[in-house]
Amino acid sequence: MKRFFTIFFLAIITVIAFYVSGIISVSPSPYNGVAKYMVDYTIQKTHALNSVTAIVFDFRGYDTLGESFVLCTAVTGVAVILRKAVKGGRKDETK
Amino acid sequence: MIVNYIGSFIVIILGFYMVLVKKNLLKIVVGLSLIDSGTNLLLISFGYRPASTAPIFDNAAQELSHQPFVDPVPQALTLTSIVIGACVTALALSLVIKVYEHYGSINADNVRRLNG
Amino acid sequence: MKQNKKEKKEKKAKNIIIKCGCDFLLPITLVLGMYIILHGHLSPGGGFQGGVVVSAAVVLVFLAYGNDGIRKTFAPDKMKVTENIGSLMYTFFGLLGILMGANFCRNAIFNIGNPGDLYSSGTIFWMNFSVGLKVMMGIGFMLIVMLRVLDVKNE
Repeated sequence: MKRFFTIFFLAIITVIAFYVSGIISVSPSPYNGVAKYMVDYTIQKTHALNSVTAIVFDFRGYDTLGESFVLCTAVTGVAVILRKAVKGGRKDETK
Repeated sequence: MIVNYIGSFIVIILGFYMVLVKKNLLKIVVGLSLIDSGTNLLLISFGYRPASTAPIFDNAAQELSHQPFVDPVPQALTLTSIVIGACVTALALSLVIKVYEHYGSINADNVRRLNG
Repeated sequence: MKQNKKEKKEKKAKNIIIKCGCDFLLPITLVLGMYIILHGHLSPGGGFQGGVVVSAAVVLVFLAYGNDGIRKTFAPDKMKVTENIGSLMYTFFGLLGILMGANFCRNAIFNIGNPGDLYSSGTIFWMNFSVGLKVMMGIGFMLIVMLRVLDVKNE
């Protein structure tokens, strides 16, 4: 019974997703926002040839700092959860 | 391009199905990773312009007379999203290792109550 | 006893193929990864992509030589310290904008070379390098910790 309701609701969401993707792929995308400014002034402001790297590290460098926080947290979290393996053997348990 | 949008939505919905229905913990983690992949494909497909090329200049003299470029901003956001997806998968897998050591099985029906 | 000898011979034959493959592929992997990191502002790539390619060396050494090979080759404590140094370098080059110009993470030294050189675009080059260092060491350390679990369980 529960599985039938799950599949039914997923099917409704699939039909809605197909309808939305049909509308999105037909409407044109305007290109007169901040992306046009960034591509036009890449070489003039940063002397770099790669627009995507200039956006990630120069125009929006603050977001990359936040992402390095996520990397640091994930590595520390794995090292804490698997603590017996980090110390190379069994911990000394004083139970 | 309609194929990109339909494909990414199908991948996302299959990922949701795996998370909701399956009982094995490893299959649930695979479903989480599928949701991440589908979302990244959807993000990149939003920046498509017809008859354009990749947003990389060849040399400095091409600054004013280049071919039209696709939108580079969604590509920059997708870089961050891929890294975050990989970190979430790594943490989830290490949690599955600890659950197996503690309970002895990785069936989601048997790991219901706190033990010990 | 005859079956034991035959099993050992088969294991040794399989191990030799994987060892030769690892010896051939390891320098190529390291150099290709450093190329992708350093040429981030000229061709597709950058810090994140190149860092993951370099950290695949840990998996290659594990497949060929096992956990003893990893213990002889890598030093996980120094890797964790280097990852923190890479993160601090990124913050320092972000503060360089405040020291010289207007706001945080501003490219204030972009006039150094012509566009198209290797050392051309100011803080983008240094930020690429520090993020590449951080990803290399971070993911390599995580892989070493997760692969040690396989050894502790099978004792």
